Amino acid sequence: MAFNSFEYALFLWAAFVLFWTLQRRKSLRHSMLLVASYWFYAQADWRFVALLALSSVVDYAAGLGVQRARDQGAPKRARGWLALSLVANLGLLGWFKYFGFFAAEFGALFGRLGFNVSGPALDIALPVGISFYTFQTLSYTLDIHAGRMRPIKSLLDFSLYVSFFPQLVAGPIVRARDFLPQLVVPPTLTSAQISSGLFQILRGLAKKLLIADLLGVHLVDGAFANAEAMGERGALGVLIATYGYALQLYGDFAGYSDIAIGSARLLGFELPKNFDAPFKSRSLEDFWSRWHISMSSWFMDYVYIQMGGSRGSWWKSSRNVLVAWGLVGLWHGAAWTFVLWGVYHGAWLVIVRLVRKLIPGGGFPDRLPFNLLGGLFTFHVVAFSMVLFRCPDMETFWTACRQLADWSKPLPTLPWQVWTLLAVGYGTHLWPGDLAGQLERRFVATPAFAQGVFLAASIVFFFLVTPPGTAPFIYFQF
Amino acid sequence: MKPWKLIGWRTLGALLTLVGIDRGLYHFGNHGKWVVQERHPHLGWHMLPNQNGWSRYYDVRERTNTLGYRGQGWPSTPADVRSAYADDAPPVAPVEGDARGDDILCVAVVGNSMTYGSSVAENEIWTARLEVLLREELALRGDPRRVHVLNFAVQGYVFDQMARTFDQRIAPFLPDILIVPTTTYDLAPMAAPAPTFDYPLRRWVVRTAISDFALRRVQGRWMPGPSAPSFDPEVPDIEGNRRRWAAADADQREVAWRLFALDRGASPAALAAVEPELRLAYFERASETAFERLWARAKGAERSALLTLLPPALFERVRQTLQHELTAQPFQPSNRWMWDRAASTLDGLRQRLEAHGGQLVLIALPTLSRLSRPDQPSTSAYWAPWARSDGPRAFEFDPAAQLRARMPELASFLRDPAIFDRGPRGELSIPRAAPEIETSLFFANDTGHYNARGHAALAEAVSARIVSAGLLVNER
Repeated sequence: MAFNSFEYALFLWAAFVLFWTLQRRKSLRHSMLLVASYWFYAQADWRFVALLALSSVVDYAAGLGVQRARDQGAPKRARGWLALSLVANLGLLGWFKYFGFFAAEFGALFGRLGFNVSGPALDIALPVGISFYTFQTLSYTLDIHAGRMRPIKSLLDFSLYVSFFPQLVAGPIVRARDFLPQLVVPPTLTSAQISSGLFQILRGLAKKLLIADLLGVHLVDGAFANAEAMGERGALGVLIATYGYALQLYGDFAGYSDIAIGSARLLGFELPKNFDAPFKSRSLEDFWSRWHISMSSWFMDYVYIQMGGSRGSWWKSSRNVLVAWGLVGLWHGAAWTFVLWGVYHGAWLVIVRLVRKLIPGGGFPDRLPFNLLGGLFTFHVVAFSMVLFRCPDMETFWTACRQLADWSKPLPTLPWQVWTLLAVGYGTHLWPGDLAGQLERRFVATPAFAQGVFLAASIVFFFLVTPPGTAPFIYFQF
Repeated sequence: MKPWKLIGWRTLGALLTLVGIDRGLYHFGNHGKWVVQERHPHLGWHMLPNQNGWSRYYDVRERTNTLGYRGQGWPSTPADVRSAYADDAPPVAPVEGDARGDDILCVAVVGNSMTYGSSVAENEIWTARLEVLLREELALRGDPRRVHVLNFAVQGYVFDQMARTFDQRIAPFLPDILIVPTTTYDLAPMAAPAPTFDYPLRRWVVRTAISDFALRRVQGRWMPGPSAPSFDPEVPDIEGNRRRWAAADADQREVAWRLFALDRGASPAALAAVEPELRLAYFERASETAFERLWARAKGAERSALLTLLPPALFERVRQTLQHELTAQPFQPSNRWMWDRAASTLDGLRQRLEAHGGQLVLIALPTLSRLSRPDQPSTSAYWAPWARSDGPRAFEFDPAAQLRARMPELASFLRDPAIFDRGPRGELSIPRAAPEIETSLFFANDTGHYNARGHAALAEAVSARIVSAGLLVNER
């Protein structure tokens, strides 16, 4: 059930009414939300509901086990419980997401060495959201092991944390220590909270339907279809398609996150911000503190810092960056393009750090021209990496790279509507100050009835201008 | 404040706005009033069941029953028909009446807008009148059987779709008589259905005025469709062009191939011989010339086979050309193959009908120009010999004479070459000054369709012919 479907609107409305009807009955309220979340997940593929339950039970038990061992002063046993959690979660992820890829790659490698290794061809379906919920549950046991939190006693509450439907399929990756306390405190509902939640949902739908979907259909899909399509575009054509895809990807994923945050807010929960105007970033580090924040901070906390972070020599720190970013790439998908994408970002971060180290004063001065140049540079580094992210194969990617050197071809003719979408998309994104915040405050101050009118009118508008059908969210594939 | 109060005003505002916009578009923009069709993998398209809409000019109610056809009070829907719907529609509840037994004379009618009864009230459609006339005839004879005339016509259908309708929907009813009204229009290959999208609550959404407004007034207008791949004739990259084509239009091509896969009339060897040349020609952008060359060389069934090889864009152009040719010069020897193709379809239909003792009746539906110009050949010229050669279980008749007798002055007036005028669809138009214009059997503003008088006249002619042919004799 996609967030941009009528089904979801009805589902959310029903969940909202039921949840707040049970406001004073905690167990029933949480049970209802758990059932709703499992039902929501089963809409994608009911067979994987058991995996979700298994992951919840294993980490619930592991959390309790780690804490008991810690309390009893048995660090080895605590590590054993942690290992169980790691093996279970990474094992699930490895089997469903990476086994086919590595099996094929090893088969090809041995084939080149002269050994005929032909195992059974496995076509394993990827459970929806597995990359997100396994990382959530991992953060829970890791935090308990590190003493950053204590385990929760209620299996019901823990299962709800893992499966809470607004963030189940594509994040944000919520930390247990941020979410579980919200289950303890009785929820309260205010008019402003509803208004804010509805505004977030509308904002997300606008990003997804008006920007991402339309750019996808009318600009990006055609350009990135295959190497032949890419081969005709020339440098200007590739650049425009790349700018289009950068905006599409942002609109799609940030739109999803906005709807998730808005939906959770309607149910009295606060999810962490996942995007913060990333194309306004002045440096790569800045970008990764604004784009898919919940994922980058997860890798920062649980991989990069655990490996030593920036402590130690420059070489060691650079190695940590490259390994962490290689894993970030691999997290996105089982393909060399994703690994390359991660390493590309890691390499740029290393280069930027090196340059900063070489500049006296530890970096460029905080002045407008430097900030503008830094922003342009960061945007293009990121946008180029998205070419790698979007290309269906390496052949298309290399064609795009070759085309970037060909400035002889004219700019492809695009309808004015596509230019308008690009202008509106980037214009609203780069608008100085907090445009969305201003609009939200104005919406919240509007009378409730008028909010309903605006909501319905917006939905009709979205329906009229977007192509029929429900385009899936890009990040569902991860 | 109570949560339900907080959400209540917003929900009320949203609902009132949605209903307001929808009703506003319905009442002031006439949107969402027509009956709606949807794509179907075998039939091309079919009508949604249980609709209550309006005719083209919003003057006549058009309802569809639980199977998506015009007409109420059908006998129980056989389970086979319900299962035929299972892929594309929710299970259909049995309609009122009893299951068909020996006490029912079941007459099924296929067809398109002529038989569907565009802008004609349900009880005035010729099939409804036929049911009344046959019922009266059986009563006169003291035959206790009840009569059900089931109208399976869908607007825009051609022969191919009518035959498929028989297999998909009609066969389980075990009709005693199957009536196939024909015009030359029906001989052309069926058009590929426009792509539709499947999404939750789609059937509910497509019935709304907002959806109708979006489809007809907004979508595709403010934003042009995805740009087609460019085929550069100067670049001798045939393989590249081929791949570009495949990438750009895979979906449409797949639909067209699926639809026409059932129609292949030529041997696989014949197909294989022409395929590479045709495809190559297409990718070299000399497709039309190459196609004409091949077309001239091909004969009979090979032409049917050639059609199956065309990419959809080119196919649609060819199909429209064929339809124009059929309308303008249906009896041209070069068009003979289309008649033979239809005859072959009908042969199969007749055999399936005979399996349970049914009778096939072909009617050459007279058009206005045919009524006005008796010298113009009728489709009967082809179908009468076919029916005669086909034995006693199929027959054909041409009610032109009976219908012409209902509008003699008008038909005679329209025969005058001085006022002869063809409308955009190749049909005669009726000047306002025409004598006895009120006797017209066709709509003045839509001479391609019968009005209520035309339907009544046709029903009487068909009823009389069925009676005189002895088809009402109870053989069970």
